[in-house]
Amino acid sequence: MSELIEVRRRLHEENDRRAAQLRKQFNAAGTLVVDLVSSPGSGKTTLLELTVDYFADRLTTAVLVGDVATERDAQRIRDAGGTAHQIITGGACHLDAQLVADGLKSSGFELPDILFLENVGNLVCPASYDLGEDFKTVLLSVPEGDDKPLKYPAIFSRAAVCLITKSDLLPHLPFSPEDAVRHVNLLNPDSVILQMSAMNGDGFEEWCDLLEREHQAKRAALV
Amino acid sequence: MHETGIAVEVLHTALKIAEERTEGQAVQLCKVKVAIGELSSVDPELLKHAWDAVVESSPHQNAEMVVRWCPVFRQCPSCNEEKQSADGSWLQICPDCHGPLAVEGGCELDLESIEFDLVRKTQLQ
Repeated sequence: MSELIEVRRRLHEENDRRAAQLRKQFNAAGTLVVDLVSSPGSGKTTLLELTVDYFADRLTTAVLVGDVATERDAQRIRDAGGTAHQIITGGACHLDAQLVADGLKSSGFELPDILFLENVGNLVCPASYDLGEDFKTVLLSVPEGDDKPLKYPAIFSRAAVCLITKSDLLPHLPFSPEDAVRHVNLLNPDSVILQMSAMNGDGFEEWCDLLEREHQAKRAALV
Repeated sequence: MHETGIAVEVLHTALKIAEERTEGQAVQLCKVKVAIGELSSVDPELLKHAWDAVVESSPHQNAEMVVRWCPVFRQCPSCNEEKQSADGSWLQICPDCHGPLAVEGGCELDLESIEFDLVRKTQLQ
């Protein structure tokens, strides 16, 4: 005779519990934590190379980089003068709170002013995992097309910030920034949307100002 | 890949609950029932395939996964009517009047029930 048990348990309960512990730790340290999510090749690592360099003499930063294989991206950020630790997921298509906790422990670095979590290049799974971050930032590069938000709605609905990257390619591609913004807003009316280019610096200052403001707000909450 | 991770989580959670209930006695799962919401980014068919792969060659290989699909409801307060899923099924803005939609449900990703047999340890080998 089989025994039947009625339960109601969130399947992400364990991840959410670990994420809550991380968030508590980050809040106590006044560390702003940003989870960067995009398709492979949208420009996450390039953006981070520039960002850690920009903040080098004003705030401390560190990056936990998630990739299925290789240390290449963490090395690129270190070459740009940043502090970075690679998390090799070994096949997993997203970071989870346990991987972040383990990565932090093995990195050995002190919690910085701003911690970036560079997620595995994937627009589906990272949307479902809380990593203890303050907000998710999704990158949409111009070659991917302005209808991408509608095709991957989960992440565009949940990311507080959306960066339209590689804007220097706009004259060469049939990408409408107005349509991209409209599509993001259909899913997330409160999203902050910036148009950027790592090649010509378009939007970079606004991105750094946003980070600085959010960091100050987090510090102010400590007092 | 995503669904495989969820299937592993279902198995671990189900076994943990069974262990708590039986105070550590060996069990063999017969059935797990999960609730999957339209906005959970999980495909029910893929999840069932992943489940079969995860329990294969384990003592729980005959355990069936039953999925309860939970749709999302979008109501437009201005039009005073329910809005159907369309191209942007996650949309939070009314396609007709462009006002904000009230969105309810669809985020479920829950284990709802488990069914298991108690077995002697020798049976599990």
